[in-house]
Amino acid sequence: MSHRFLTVDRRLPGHAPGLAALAALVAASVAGPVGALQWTLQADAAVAGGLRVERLRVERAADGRVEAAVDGLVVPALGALGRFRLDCAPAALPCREGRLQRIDEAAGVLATANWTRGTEDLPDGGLALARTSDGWGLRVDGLELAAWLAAPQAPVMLQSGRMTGRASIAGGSGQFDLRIDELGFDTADGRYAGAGLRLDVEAEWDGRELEAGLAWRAGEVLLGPAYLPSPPVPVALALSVVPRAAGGRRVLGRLTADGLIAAGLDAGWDAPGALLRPDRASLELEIPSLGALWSLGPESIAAGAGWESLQVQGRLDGRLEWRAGQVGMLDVELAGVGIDDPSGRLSIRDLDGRLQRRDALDRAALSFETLTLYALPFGPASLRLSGTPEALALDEPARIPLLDGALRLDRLRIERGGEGPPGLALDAALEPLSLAELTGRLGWPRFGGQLSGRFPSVRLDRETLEVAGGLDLELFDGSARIENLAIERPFGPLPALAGTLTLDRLDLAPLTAAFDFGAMQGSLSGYVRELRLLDWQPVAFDAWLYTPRDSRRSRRISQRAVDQIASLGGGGAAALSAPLLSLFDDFGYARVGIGCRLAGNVCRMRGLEELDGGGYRIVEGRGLPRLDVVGFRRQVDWPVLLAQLEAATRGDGPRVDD
Amino acid sequence: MNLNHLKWSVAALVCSVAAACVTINVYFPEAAAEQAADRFIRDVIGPETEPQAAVVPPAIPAPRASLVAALVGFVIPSAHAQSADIDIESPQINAIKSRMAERHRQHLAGWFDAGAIGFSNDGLVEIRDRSAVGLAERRTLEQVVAAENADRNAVYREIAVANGHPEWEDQIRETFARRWIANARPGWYYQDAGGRWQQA
Repeated sequence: MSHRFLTVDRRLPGHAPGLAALAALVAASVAGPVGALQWTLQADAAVAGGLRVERLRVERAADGRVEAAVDGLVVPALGALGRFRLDCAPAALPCREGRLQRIDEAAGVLATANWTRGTEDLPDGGLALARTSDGWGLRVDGLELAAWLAAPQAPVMLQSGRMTGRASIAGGSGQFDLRIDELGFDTADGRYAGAGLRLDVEAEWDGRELEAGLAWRAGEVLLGPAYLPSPPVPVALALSVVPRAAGGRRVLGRLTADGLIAAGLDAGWDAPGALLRPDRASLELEIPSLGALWSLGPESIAAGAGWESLQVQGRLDGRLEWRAGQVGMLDVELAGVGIDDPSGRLSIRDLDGRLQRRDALDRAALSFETLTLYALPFGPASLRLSGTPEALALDEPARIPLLDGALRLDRLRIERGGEGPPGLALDAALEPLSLAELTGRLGWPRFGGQLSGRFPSVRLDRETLEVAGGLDLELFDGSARIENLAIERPFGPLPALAGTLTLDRLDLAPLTAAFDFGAMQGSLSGYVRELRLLDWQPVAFDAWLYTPRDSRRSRRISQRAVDQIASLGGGGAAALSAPLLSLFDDFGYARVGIGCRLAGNVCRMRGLEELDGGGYRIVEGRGLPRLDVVGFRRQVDWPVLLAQLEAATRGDGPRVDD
Repeated sequence: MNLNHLKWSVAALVCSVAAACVTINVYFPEAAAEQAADRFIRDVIGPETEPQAAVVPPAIPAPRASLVAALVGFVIPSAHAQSADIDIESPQINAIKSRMAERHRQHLAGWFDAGAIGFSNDGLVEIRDRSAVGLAERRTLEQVVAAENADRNAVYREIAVANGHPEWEDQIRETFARRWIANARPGWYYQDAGGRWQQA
């Protein structure tokens, strides 16, 4: 046996010294002593900055061929890359020509590059190394990254990509300038991925300072919930690291994309410390067009939260200073912000806002021209808040116009302490607004009156908005009150509204006229309890409408109103025959009462009282001719009833005729 | 009477006293809920294509108008009587159902086939392997799954509320969770009770 073994069986010292030792071994293999000696160098389990090598072997055979092999190379993030082997042609030491290969135990040779001395005239996919006066130069041309660096089950799997560029290392300094085309990668969990990426990467260091740059010119990226399509302009990141006394350092960073974003970072460490915890830092951010930036990430995050295809505009400027482990200063300004939700839930025009923090005191100002929630246009308004980072409160009551009335915020406190969504305490009132305009907005039959209300507290959690207090309506010379309001999923897939409505002595004459429901005189009281709207359509309630006995208004009901009511009660016949009925325009009544409990798309009807024979009395007549309306149908299809009410209030409802 | 007997007697007494205080005692109609869930699910994921796996769902008699009502009524067609204990038919829930069916056809079916998503054990859809979906489609994966789950949560809650028992929401969710899994096509993934992925 003519080989001589030199086995280094202890673990090489970690981190940089380990890497240096590894490099020294490789260098020795390449430039090592020329001679007829046959030798093998072997190092087991070298560890260097997360880089792991199971075995490093350099062997010089009797015929002068030198083979250097690295087994079980593990690179952080890229995973186990397997074996790399460099064969040098005989009599070619230092290694002038040869072959570098990546070898998989099962699949064989995965990639081959010709190892050429001199850095010119590379074949495609080649790799060339040159000895310069004081170091080494490396050149790659169209190197297939996946063949060289992809590993199965790696945290980051390279799928495609070609690298072209140069690198040089001399002593402690060096530089590289690489261009990567068509880079595709994916992570094991699929959260991060890229395709068709065109990147420029460059760096230069001199043993003291490091300057690095990364430019993203094309290709799409997925970063968790954020999807970034190919950028309209190159996005460039520049970084410089300057060492400071006592092992500290200063990092200057700049992110720029023309017209999209400009951000600058200046961070300092007094001693070697965690990368994410600088001793001081300042960050400046400028987004000249939120609309242009919107598609690069924010759009996909908003869409994931149920806000698809928002149209956004405006600009954002921000400054942040970090000292002593917390935000020392913060100043974020929004200007001319507009948001449009194509599905009509929200629209904001001309919103300006500013949030400032100094010495743990927050001040916020917000103003907008209009903020439209569904069909309700609020604004213009401006709000000022101040407080601590944990809780912000309204400085003075704010008035937000709504149609011809206003929403008045007497108290507003936003608490951001702890986990979960911010707590909201609100004391608000609705200054009277005219129902004519509101009903018009909501697409209802227009009627006059006033709406006002008081909400001593509003509770908002993830899914539900609950309002204590209630809304008071003055309409048709009577009043109504809406209480126990709660909205689930207000902007979600199926908004649900629950509440209770009470009516007190509305004047039937203008009411029936407004809804074109024939003509009635008298008063109307009643309630709608357990009301539930889904997608703003009623799906459940228990309603009871009646004419109170103690009303002073005269009580008459027109022929047509009788028809309408009769048809609601299932066409239950009136006590008189139709030809005789038609002789009279209207009739006196003692009382009217009709109820409906809606559930499962069916309205279960009831009246003033149950009658023998299965009917229920809806109208109890008075005087002569005495007319009673009796309902017989107990269950009515709600959509049919609705269609019928709609037809009735349009004035072309079905008539009782024969 | 030994001590054990005494203990049980006291327990029984306490139970009966407690029961006397409970005035409402409505049981969750498990079987009806399962049938309703099955109908809903089949409307969403479409009929089974493999003939050997085709199972005819137990038919629920179509509600009929009563004769009396039909005779009396001449203006309003008669209402449907509620024969099932769980009713999940409403225009709003039907609208969500058709939206879910469309979403299933367009996105989810392919993702179930690819193993990218599976049925979670709480009646939702969960992403299990993003890398099974190409990057171009993966950007919508999160968003579509979030929308699907928002719809499902709303459906479970609204079915409970519509049937007059908001407290049934969890049971309805559990029923649906079981039935989604029972209706899964071969090869689709689902979570077992311990949260581990299994293949149907």
